[in-house]
Amino acid sequence: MEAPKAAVHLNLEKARWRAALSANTVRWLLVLILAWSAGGKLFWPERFGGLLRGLGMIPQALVAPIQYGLPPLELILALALASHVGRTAALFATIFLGLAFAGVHGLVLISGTVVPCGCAGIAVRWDSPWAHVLVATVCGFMAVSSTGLLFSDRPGAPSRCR
Amino acid sequence: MLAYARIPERSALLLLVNLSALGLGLGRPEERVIQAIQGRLEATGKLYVEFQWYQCWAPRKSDPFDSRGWLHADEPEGTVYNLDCRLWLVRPDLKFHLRGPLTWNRDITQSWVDGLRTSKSLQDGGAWSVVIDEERWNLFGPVPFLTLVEVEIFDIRQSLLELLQAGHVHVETESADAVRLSGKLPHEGGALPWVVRASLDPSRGCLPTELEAEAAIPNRRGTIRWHMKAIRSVPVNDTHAPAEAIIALGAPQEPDRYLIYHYRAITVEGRPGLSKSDLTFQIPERNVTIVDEVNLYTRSISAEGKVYNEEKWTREQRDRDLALIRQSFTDSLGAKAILASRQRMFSLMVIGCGVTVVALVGAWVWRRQRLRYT
Repeated sequence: MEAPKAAVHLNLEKARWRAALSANTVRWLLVLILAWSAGGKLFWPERFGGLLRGLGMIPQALVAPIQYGLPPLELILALALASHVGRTAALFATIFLGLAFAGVHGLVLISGTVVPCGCAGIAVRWDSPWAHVLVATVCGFMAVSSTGLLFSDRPGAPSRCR
Repeated sequence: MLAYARIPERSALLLLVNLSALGLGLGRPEERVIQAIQGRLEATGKLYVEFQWYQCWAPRKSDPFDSRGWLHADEPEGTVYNLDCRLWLVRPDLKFHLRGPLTWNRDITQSWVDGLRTSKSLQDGGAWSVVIDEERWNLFGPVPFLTLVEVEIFDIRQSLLELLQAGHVHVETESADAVRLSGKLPHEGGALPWVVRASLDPSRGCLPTELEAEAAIPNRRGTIRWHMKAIRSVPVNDTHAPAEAIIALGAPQEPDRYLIYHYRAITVEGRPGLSKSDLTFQIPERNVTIVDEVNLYTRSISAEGKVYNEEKWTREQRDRDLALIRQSFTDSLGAKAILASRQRMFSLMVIGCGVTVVALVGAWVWRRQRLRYT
């Protein structure tokens, strides 16, 4: 009787480790995406502002706040996810950003005019429909995986992301 | 009914007109008003007006007709104008001269004689720009002072008399103190769906004391509203002309403020000797660029009198060029509408994202509480 019990325990442990590993992988992927996305925008805010204006869907009054506010926010979210400080709030904010970015790309695709968006940073200037589909998928992944991370934890239990 | 006009004996013509206007109580009220206005416009048919035109802003929350609420400075945009103006009127022809700190021109003279518009304006570099064409609508910008001499109503290129005659405006109420008119204008061919209201003073020859024009701009781009009140009037040739008036413009692109135009007449004179020849003016011979859309040429002449650029067009060429200009203008309007619709979609999308996140927060809190007790 001892052997199967130990085997079950081992299997459970393995499953826990796998779940923790995949949660950690997802978390670090999110950190990477957010940090990468923030990088170029932080260093070249003027070019990012130009790209925002080029999108033609953000009201003029919001361009400057987004231009200077979004890159630090992305960096803060990346740091929060990496360090677990304010992790829950960071995940909710990442869901919002992921949905909003995916929505922007969806609107660009609907409008039929592709534009370099700056979502993936300044260095990568994709401006083809497929690039928008790809970036929208990445943004969707941000939102879905953040939701998954939030809802995979049990209250009181240690977080799966370690 | 007798309140329609204060009719001095010396104007036999006006007496006849007003008697017919009164019509011994017969006829439709519109006809009586038309006759009374016709009499007025005939009396002011040959007119010289010298006036000051002041332009500033007022907060939307304030009463635009109370000058204490006006905002007099708007630097560095320079949108506060104080123009000295002169106008010679031989209805329907006219000439006017504006001088003052306008942002784009300091000195403008324009005339409309026998269907020909001539415009002369001083450019920033000190050169003159002359344009000759047959476009009456070009005459009326940049300031709506022609409303005060009843040539047009604000942005509407017709006078109140023309609107009445066309049956677009009707008499709403009629009393000894005021005749109130209102009507909706047809808006085919891209014209705005104007709603016009007017209040006339029968004791001053049906002088418009209040005028309002309001239109909803298509594609839900807001409402434009013009409102004029005549504060003072001055007797001219047995009738009355406005001597002081305020026009408030509520434009959708300026949701927080009114644009105020303050008209103050210095001289309003009936000049029976005025003729069409007084409405023409000298076109500069040096330091000028002339664009003549009637004879189809453009010519630039240097300060020394040397022609340094000359171009002639055929009618087809010019029509094509003008069509392109009109097309690019229409396209730019279309682009603005597309931009507005994209911004609306963006706002809706962001609101949707916010609602989704709030719902997720709710679900997350609910799940935590449920798991805590299981």
